[in-house]
Amino acid sequence: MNVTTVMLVCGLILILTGCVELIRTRHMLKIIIGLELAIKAISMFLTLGGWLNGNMALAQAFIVTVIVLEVVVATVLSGIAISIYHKHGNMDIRNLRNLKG
Amino acid sequence: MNLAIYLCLGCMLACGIFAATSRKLIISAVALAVVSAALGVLMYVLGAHSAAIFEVSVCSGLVTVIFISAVSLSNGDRQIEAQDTAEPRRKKRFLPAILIGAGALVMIAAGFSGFSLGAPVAAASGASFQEVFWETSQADIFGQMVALIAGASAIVVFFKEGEDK
Repeated sequence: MNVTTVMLVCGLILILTGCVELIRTRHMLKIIIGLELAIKAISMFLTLGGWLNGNMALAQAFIVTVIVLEVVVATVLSGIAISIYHKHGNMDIRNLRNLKG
Repeated sequence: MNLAIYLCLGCMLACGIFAATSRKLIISAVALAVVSAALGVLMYVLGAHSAAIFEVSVCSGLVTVIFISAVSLSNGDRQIEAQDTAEPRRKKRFLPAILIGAGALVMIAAGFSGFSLGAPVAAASGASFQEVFWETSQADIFGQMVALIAGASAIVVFFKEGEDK
């Protein structure tokens, strides 16, 4: 088993970890952490693809796009979590059901 | 080179599972920052130098600051403890073992089936990252700008609503 296969398996485990965290917890910040873990694995897969194909420039362009979207998602979800905390006093994801409009 | 890759992968897996299973949000945020730093080192070793700089500076720095600010603005750790008290924690104990066992099973299956991604090839094109990013990926740049503006607008709206109350 070579290093590329090990990287693939480690990325799959990271995605599995993020998905388990998404399913298991109801706290919004922990959900964001699980989402970030899965996105890290996606960035690693893009790096692995660029390394395997020898086209690292295009892979880096995609990685930068993923990083920017990751930051935007983390920022917006953190803002939603803080808003929910100010409204309900906790960060339970089930409080999103009470939103109106 | 392979040793550095294996070290980064091990650090990413250990800190990732620790970030998912930790009860303290601050510790989870720091573990996530370590995952980002290890991924940045991995990118640098594999040749993605510009992406490694973005990963370390933005994901390992800015996102961690955002998380710690969010935890500081709320009592996030107390909520985690309250949730743990209210719900059984039996499943959490076995989560690292389940994840590591799943990875070991996949590796064993890959070893028995002879699955392999193959070795990396030499650089196919001589285009630099700057040329590809600014000339080929212009649609991506516009998308990133729209996403950044949308994110900034969302944050402004959230905090504006909080001030009105």
